[in-house]
Amino acid sequence: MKDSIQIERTGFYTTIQDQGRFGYAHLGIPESGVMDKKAMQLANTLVNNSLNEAVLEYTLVGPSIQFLCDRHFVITGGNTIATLDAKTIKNNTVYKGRKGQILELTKITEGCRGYFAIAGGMQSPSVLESKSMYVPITKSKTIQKGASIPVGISLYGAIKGARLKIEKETAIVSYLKEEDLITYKGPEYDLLDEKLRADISKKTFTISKLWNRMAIQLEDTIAHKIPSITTGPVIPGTVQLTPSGRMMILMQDCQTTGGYPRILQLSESAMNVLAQKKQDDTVSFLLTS
Amino acid sequence: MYYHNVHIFKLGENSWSIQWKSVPSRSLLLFLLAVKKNLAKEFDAEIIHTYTEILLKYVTIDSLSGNTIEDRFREIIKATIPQEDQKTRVHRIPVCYESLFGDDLDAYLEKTSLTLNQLIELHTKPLYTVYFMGFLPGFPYLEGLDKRLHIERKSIPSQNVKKGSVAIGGKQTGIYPQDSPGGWYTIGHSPSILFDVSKKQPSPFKAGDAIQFYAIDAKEYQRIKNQALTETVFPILEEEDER
Repeated sequence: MKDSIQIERTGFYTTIQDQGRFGYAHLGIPESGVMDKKAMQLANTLVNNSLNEAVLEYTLVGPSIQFLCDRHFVITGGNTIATLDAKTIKNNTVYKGRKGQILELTKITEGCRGYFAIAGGMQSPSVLESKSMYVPITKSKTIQKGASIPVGISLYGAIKGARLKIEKETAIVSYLKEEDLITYKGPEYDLLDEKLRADISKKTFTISKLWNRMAIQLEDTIAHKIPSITTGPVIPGTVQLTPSGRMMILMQDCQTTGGYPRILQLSESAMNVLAQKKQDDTVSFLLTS
Repeated sequence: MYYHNVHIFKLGENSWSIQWKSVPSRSLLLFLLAVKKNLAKEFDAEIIHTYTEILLKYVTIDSLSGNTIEDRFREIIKATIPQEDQKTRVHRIPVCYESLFGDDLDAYLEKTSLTLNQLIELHTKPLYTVYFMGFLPGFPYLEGLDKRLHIERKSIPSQNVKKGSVAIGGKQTGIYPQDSPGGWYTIGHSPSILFDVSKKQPSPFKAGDAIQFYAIDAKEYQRIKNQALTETVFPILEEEDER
């Protein structure tokens, strides 16, 4: 039998993700991929996987996983309360799961999204060159209870000296507390008048109840009279201004085109910061050029 | 032509938007497609286009001797000659213009004061141009809807527009490759498959292609639908000389 892990409890919105689907955006297919690339890449590095190896991404509450083989693993991202066979384990630290052991990932106490990487990576089927879950490209939207997921061959410990020099724990997780989003101008930024520009850079915005892998909408509105645009291309990190004055930040599962003015574009690092925000958290835009 | 009024904008760390300050047209579309092709030869990037814009996502640059990337884009645009006299690919899509799932056909006819026959005639006559795909995987943005078929979008969007639905909203007509929410009036249903991830080319459509609808009855709809259970029945593809 192939080496695998089994999902005993799914947690909340737990998906298999790699870095995303490339080369298909012209067909209207979203990029998908992990929301917090920094945490995902750290996880893969720690277990000596290639950076694009597929991981589990969970939201606020993690899954329960039974090991059906012996394998090194790590959890990164939002700080997760975790036990391995009822013994408390740390985040950002590699452990070896033994066949039959149960890893319980429960609440995320800081941040919003957690990552579970296993040495050898999740070897679920690739669809259009990516394992990232997105319906209708993949059949399921999230992982299912009872599912067993094959894992690849472990390279953990295979190359001596390739081990990452880990930053101090505090440095790794400092971005979880960050509220400033480093942001660039969007193609329609010029349509904003002085007052709107000032509002956007001075105000603090609260994450609304609409926050998912497609978009994060901000609660606070800014009044404006900017008309819709001819449908144009959009990418993850594009900030659209809706007619009602809400800012909608497009995330990994966003569409490829849209008709609202694109006023801002988030930096890559801001995407990681925002991936760790949930309803009622606050952010502000730090405009750069 | 389209060598002027080009606006180049750097988007975030490694994406670029190239916008043409022109109104959307078929000739601009053909020019954009030719530019896109030339850009793809030189840049390793994800390239998306819409009516008047090309976006290059995640551009990796090996070497740009002495040039800024913006200069290089302009040079490529300047050197682009749109292809002429090429054949147009035409997809013929069967549509059953009936309310098979109790949807919006009656409401549409009432609002537009058209008869079913008038709707079918006006909707099946044009060759619609595929401008690009967006909104949903494999959803084609089509141009060419007869003015008499325009209708304001529904005030309350439907939560579940069925896969294969042919719909009209505003000045546009479209066809849904998957189930989806939508704010347009569903006027018919196609049994054809319009998106299949198991295929190397998941969508039968390419920007610049043409689409023409033809009317079928409910019996033929069911026959093709049954056939589509076991094989990928894309619409019929023909080639025609450039219009």
